[in-house]
Amino acid sequence: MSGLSIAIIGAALCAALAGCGSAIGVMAAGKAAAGVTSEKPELFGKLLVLQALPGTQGIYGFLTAILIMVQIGVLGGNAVDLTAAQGWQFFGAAMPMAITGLVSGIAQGKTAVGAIHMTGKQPDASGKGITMTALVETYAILALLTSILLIYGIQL
Amino acid sequence: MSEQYNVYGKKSYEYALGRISGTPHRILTVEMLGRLREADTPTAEKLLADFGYPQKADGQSIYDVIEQEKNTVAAFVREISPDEELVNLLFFEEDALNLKFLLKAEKTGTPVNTDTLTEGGFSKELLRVCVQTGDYSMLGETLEEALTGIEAEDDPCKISCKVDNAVFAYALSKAKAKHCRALEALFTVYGAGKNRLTALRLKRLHKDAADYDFAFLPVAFTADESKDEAQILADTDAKLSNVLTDLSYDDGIGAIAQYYFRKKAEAAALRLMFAEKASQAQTEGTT
Repeated sequence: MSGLSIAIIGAALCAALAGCGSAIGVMAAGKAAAGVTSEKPELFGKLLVLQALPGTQGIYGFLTAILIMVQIGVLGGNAVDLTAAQGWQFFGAAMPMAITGLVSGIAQGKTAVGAIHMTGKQPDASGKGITMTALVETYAILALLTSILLIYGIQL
Repeated sequence: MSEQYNVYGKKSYEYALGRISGTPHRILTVEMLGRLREADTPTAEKLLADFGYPQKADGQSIYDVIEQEKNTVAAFVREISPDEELVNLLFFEEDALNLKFLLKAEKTGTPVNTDTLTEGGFSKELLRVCVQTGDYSMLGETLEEALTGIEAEDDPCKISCKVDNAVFAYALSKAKAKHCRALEALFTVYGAGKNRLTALRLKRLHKDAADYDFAFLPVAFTADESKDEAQILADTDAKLSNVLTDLSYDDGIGAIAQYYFRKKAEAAALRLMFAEKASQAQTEGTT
């Protein structure tokens, strides 16, 4: 398998896995928010923020994939002729965001569900719920930074 | 938005628990119950309405209001629950009560209007037909086995105990079969608690528990003969309360069960509280 193929698989996995994590997280939070909204429609605005929070991992995964595509020249139409070792380096660089995106998207979704239920019971506590849910984001941001630094560290 | 969501062929517990979080039919806090206890009857009735209970209509008693709230909560729990089979198990006490009522009415030849019965896990009409025909096969193997031939029993006490045992055993076995650890834990603690109370009652009546094995639910328990009555009651209450608290952390049927049983206990506590107030008012009136 050529180095370019390996790098493309890495980029694709990064976008796909982080996207799946976000989709699962947003789905769980959305179902909980729908339940609370059906009883208290006035809370929709507060709950929407909580539902949207697990969606960021998908964006980070997409961003990492784009950075890889730019680096290997796929987007510009002039693909770089990568060695297998360089391909694996890009693949490895994509993994922090891919794996952490999947796991933290689901974990943040579960936290968002808890925060949504808390907001349903105590609408004034929505700010606390947002803070608790946002803390899970830290690790997705760290993974994104790691992936970006690794991508730019690869010698072409 | 009141319809249960159906995602990938599975209904969602997140949605159901979200509905419970936002419901106006909240579980009363200790502080609320304290305020109700300290208030006189008219103030307590007003407070109860402020806490989300229905307004007392003309000709209604406070007990009707409490019953109305209980029925609303039962209907709400049925509506939101993703698993119909599991949620029906929460109404095992109502099923037992309906069956006892129908069996005793059948024995005495009293006509029964099923509309007056409480809604349970089984259809009231189905229970009526089963009792009338003596064929319990439609209630499942466990209940069929336990209830077949019960019409030959003459002792009303034995009828009640057999029905309680049969329905409880059915609920426990169904929870086990569906691998629902939350309900299994709840029913086990409930059964053990009931058995301890039965043992306590028999002791008070100076009866030998060995002669009344039919009165015990099919769950292991320790009689705690070294403890006094107050300790046994407090211990039983604490165990049930602990299991309900554990269920509130469940993200499935356990949290729904916790909500329903707490509301049911709340209704019982309120009935007792208002009865106490009425009795106090009566005593003060006579003296």
